[in-house]
Amino acid sequence: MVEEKVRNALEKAKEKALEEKDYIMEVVRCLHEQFGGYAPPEALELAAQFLEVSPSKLYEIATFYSLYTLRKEAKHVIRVCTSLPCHVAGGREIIETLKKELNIDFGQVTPDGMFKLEEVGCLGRCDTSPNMMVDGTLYKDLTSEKVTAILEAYRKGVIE
Amino acid sequence: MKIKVAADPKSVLEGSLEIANYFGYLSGVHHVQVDVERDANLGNCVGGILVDINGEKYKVRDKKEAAMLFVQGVILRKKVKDLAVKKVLPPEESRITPEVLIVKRNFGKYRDIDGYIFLGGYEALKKALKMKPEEIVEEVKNSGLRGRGGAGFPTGLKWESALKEKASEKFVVCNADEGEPGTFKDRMIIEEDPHALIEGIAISAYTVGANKGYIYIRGEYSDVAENLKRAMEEAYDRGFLGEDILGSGFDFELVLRFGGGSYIAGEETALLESIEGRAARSRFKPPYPTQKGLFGKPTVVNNVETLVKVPWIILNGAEEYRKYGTESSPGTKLFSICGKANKKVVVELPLGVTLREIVYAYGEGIYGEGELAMVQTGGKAGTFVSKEKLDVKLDFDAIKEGVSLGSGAITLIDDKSRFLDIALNVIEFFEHESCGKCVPCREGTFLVRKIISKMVEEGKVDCDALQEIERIVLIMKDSSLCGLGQSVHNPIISLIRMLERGEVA
Ligand SMILES: Cc1cc2nc3c(=O)[nH]c(=O)nc-3n(C[C@H](O)[C@H](O)[C@H](O)COP(=O)(O)O)c2cc1C
Ligand code: SF4
Ligand code: FES
Repeated sequence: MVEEKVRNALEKAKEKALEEKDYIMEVVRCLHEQFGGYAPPEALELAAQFLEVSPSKLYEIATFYSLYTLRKEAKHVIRVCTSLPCHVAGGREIIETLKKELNIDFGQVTPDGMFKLEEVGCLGRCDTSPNMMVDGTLYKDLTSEKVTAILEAYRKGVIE
Repeated sequence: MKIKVAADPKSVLEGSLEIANYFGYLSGVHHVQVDVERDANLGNCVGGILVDINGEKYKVRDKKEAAMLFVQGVILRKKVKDLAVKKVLPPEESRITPEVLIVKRNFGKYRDIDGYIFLGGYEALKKALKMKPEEIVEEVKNSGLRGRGGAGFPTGLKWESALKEKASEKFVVCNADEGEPGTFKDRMIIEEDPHALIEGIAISAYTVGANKGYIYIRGEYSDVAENLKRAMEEAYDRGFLGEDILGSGFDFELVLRFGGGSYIAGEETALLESIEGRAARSRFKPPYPTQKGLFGKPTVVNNVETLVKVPWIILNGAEEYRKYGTESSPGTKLFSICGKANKKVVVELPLGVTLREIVYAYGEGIYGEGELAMVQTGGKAGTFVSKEKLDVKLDFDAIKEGVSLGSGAITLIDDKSRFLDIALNVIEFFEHESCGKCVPCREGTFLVRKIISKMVEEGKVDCDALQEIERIVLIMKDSSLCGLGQSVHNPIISLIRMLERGEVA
């Protein structure tokens, strides 16, 4: 099961190789696709074995970059933009609403394991500030009411 | 009922569109049906914005007066004597700098490669492939094109130094990491004109003699990248990428790489580290990437906007490009207007345009109740500019007056924002994004953040602490390894100056 996913990830990553070792980042990204949002240590170890590189190379990437993680910590990861353009355009209230609704702070997971809340820098969508991303889906022009409705939709499973 | 608001150039630059939008906002708040018309022929008045309600002329200086006029003149239908105007001057003729569409030339005009070719696409590549690399370098040098990723390095010189390097292999890299807060122009280009980008990259590769290239796009743009992927496939199918391009004998392979959510990966040497499969930490310079870049080979890194200008310059010539902009900063620049702006858009204007024009004529001022307090130019690493300084001309020289051009981000900030709130927001970002490789930046961002956090907790500004902050960010400026640590002083010191002048509380 793990091996199959790792092989799939390696195959996909290699498709776009121009150089011997230019696709390591791509491997970690493809592992996240295969495992649904994270790259477990055993997969990294196995991938390193197949690639004949030290596992620490893959760990370095999986831990340095904020979009990558070793564990599935929550069903959904909420990344809310805290940069100034969103901040002055209503982002402050959005963050307050999120923290209040979820009853957690940045970096924490709700007790039911449903949501993790993370702060991120500008998402490059400041034409629709304030913005947040949930598992790669962008939600824009946010208001507190919208945020409440979006969370509700995830809780009820209306959005998977 | 109808409200006419003066919209001649003079009035627009004084914020009349903002007032017009505000009347729209008030009509929503008060549930009153009114027609707000922006009238370029209404004329204007001295020291305020001319407004016409049922033939009565009024002068409005700010949103407070506009609200008073709305309540008394529109809702209560009274004549508002305090604001009445006696003398109406003829509309102003002086011009507002119009948009020049070089980068935006194809925006909204095509869906696939056939559409692009119909618009004259890939003609520049054909022309370039018949030119000598030295001739292309000369043309780009003559155009005076400077990098649009923030540093403003002359593109022709960069290409020339890579061309001169003797190496078995060279690379070109397109920097599509766009992480500078407030910047979304490169995303727009990738959404609206991916082929011009591919064409620009192919020309840069041919010029410096690179057969391999990468587009490094931030991970958060994976949906946007789909458009680019499709365009690249089309370009391969038609022979604009791949082997023996258009029968010229020139081979060029171009692939896409995704970032993993890291601001510092946008710094060119950190970006190369990332492609090589490591954490994005900046390298010491020199050697510069043009000498020793990706996998130790000569590498040219260019921003998306820089590259999209190249096909236009090849087709229209350096002289034509120099017709726009200023002597030191020729051509156009994309500005992304955001924050509390009424209109959050990407506009393309000749360099040397005033900040006032961008803020009022294109951004239409601030929405909602507040008033404009300041603008941050150039992204989070850029400078805070008070509303008293809006007449500054934006180009690469503006930094001499304490205004940075940077990535072209223009963030409008209202008077509800407090000094400590903004300062904390700024420093938290840099602390979080510092790659930690060098001590001044790693420790400096941490220390400054701690000092500001303490002031936030105490709820008051401490002058000694501000001095300490200045000292630290200036040390960072001189001793940090890369542009991140070196530029933290821009926002921090410009903001402190505004506090000292009483322009922010
Ligand atoms: C912290 C930091 C972040 C940067 N981020 C970007 C970026 O997101 N996109 C970009 O094009 N350049 C960015 N740059 C500038 C690049 O290092 C480099 O100067 C640029 O890509 C060169 O291309 P140009 O000459 O066409 O501007 C960044 C620089 C620093 C110091
Ligand atoms: S200045 Fe900051 S971001 Fe740049 S290398 Fe040093 S620690 Fe890293
Ligand atoms: S600042 Fe939030 S998306 Fe740019």
